Amino acid sequence: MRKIWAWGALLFGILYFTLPLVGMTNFSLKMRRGEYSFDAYAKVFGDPRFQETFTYSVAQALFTIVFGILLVVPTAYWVRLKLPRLRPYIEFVTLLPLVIPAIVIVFGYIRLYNTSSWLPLTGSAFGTDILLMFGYATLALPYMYRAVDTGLRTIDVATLTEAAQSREPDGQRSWRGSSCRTRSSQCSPAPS
Amino acid sequence: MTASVTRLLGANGMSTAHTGASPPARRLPLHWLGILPFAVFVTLFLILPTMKIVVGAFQTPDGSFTLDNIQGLFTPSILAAYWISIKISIASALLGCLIGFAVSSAVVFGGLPKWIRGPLLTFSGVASNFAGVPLAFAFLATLGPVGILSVFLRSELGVDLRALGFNLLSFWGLTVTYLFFQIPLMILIITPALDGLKREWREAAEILGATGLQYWRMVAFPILLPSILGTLALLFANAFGAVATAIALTGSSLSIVPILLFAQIRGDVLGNPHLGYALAFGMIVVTGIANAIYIWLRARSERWLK
Amino acid sequence: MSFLSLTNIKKTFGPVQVVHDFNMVIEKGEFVSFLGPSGCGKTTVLRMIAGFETPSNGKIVINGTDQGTLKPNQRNIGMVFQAYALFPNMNVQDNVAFGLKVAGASKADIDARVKQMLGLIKLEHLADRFPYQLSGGQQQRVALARALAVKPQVLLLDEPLSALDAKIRISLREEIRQIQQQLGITTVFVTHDQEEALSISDRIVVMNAGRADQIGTPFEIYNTPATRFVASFVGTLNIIEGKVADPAAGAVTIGDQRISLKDSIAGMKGGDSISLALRPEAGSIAEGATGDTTLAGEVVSTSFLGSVIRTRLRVGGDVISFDMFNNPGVSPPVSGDNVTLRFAAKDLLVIRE
Repeated sequence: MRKIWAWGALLFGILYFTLPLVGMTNFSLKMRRGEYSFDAYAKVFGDPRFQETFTYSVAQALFTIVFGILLVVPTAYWVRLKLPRLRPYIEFVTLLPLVIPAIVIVFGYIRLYNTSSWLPLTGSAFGTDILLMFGYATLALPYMYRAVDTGLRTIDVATLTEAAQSREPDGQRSWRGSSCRTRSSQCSPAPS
Repeated sequence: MTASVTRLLGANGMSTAHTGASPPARRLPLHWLGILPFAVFVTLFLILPTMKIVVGAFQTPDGSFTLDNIQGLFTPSILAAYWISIKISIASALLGCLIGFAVSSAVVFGGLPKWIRGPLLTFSGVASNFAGVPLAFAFLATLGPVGILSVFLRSELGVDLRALGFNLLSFWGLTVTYLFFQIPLMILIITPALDGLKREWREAAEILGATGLQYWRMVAFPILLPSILGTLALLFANAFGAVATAIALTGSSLSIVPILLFAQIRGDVLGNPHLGYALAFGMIVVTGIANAIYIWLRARSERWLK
Repeated sequence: MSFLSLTNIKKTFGPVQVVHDFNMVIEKGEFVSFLGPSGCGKTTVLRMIAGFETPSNGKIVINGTDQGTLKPNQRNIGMVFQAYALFPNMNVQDNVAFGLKVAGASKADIDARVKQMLGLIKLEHLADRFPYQLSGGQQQRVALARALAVKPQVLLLDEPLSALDAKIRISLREEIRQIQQQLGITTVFVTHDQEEALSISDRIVVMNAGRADQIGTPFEIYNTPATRFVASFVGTLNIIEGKVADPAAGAVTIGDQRISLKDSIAGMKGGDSISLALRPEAGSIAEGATGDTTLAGEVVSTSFLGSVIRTRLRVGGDVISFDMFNNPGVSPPVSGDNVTLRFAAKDLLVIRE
């Protein structure tokens, strides 16, 4: 009885999630009237503009991930190690992008960093790229910070750092060690 | 604006000083430097843009204080836009919660094969980020006038969705589409919570004479409630801010707040640039209220938590 | 009169048979312990009584009712789990009231019964606390009160003490035994701790690899173990390997020493290997010890345990230990001393598989 109900729920989920994907694939294969073909794909992949935008998206995503890691990992580490009392505040701030709709933040960017402002990021293509990356990083902040912070909690940073400092006084080694371990908890993709 | 930002930064600095109070005062600046990059980034790209909007909502174009912008929101068309946005968000959050919970509990408790779990969670991780043009296109290709499901239902079963009043570019259409990322998000968040229900709780309830329903009503559901409320608040904000999907799906034919704001960004459609600030401020207020309700409910539902 | 009977119980999980043909009859008001190492099937038998597992074969009868198709919530059984299974979202009062509430008892009845139960475990003052505010020992007492509140026919205890620290463990097991006797409730207690089982049970079932090796009172289990496993699992046991010298006279040799047994070894042949067992407290190396049998040995080591001194001796090819009470007037032996071990021949048991 319970099993039937469970399979029913799962089946509904599978149908709901595969049908749109099937529908989309079905459409993409119907470029020629009345028969299936890969024409649409050939056309898209052959289009230099597609290649260009695709490469651009991938590069943006990669830069966002790298920037996010460089920003979040040292901060989370430092807060856990030296400023544990700040943790609730930092956590609150990192959760804000879940509360403030993305479009609102973007609206703020455009008003704050327009061509006539003190930091005219929207004025040049490079500036816009940077702003876009910062925007993505901001949106990913809740997920990234939590993932890293949870990772750090499970490895007990303070103890590891003390252990490493007893051999290398500058704490460099523990930094290396814990960043290795944290890598596996870095799974949040950039929202692109 | 600067006053409030300074105050905010000041508060930040104060709590830092407070933290550093116990070690010798000389080491204080060093500790503080550690989070400086993060503080600068968050200030510039999260707090300042938000403050700009909040403050801008109460300013005239020449910078003096006014409540006219806020008053401008209370026109029938903008109120209607807010109302339908809120309705879609509540509907998709509630349905997403319900269906996501059903799927997740089917996998955790339903006695399904173990291997289903991994692919389901991986798929959920991907699908919860699936939005914008591809999502809109997928649903047009499925439930649009010539979508495969619409065509199948019409030709094979004689059910004409359009004749039944279903339209993808409507309240229900948007809700059904939003569910595509709402359900996976619920699954991602609630599955660990369901795993956290100990087998002993169920067995203890059972041996004390409780039926399955009584166990869920008196033990499991109250334990899960904080997680469920949190997910509801998150799903609400998620749907309320979803702009890319809405625009890709409906263009400007459905007047919901994010679309209105997007249009305002592209060009001043409201006739008053500062009405855009008020519109954005209103969105913050709505999600803020949703979160306040969540925090209040949560405080009531988790007295038993450490 | 049998109150709880288990007849020909078998249980297989897939290809693995975890319980082989288990038979047991428990009297009303009896306290029975299932004792054995982890994986011996003791918890599985308990879970079959509770109804969480269905026997692959056999019959469970409680108070004349076959439990065959009954679900756990229809059996009226109380159970305390190893990990404190208190409902975290309810305070102590509501946890204890849970079983009565789902049974639809009136508020007045519930309040009275909960009060009585909290009195029984002496935690009336903590009625408003949540589980996370309680210590492990307190949580298990509440779990006991919760299980007893519904007046179950049988109380099942699944290693309820193993997560607690040593001191609490001892005081709580005494409390459990006292409450059990006060209420006269039929109780099955699962444990891997032989001291625990010996100290509070009316009878013990020693389980090994899915079978009941021996069922008996703690006195019987300890003093006349039926199998080598029981002998080694319950208490400390010295095993001495020897050779049969004269089966008719009961004579065996240990190394180059010859002794006579009281246990019959008729049927064995001269030269056969034989395993003999002797409890640490059965022999003594002290001056003036009594006993009809002696073995010479060399002290390997001594440990001072307070009231008791444990000495390890090499006798023949084996090292065996013996306890003697601390005597402030006599200093303990030191390693290398040659001593004489004295014991009664009737205490030397022949181990048969």
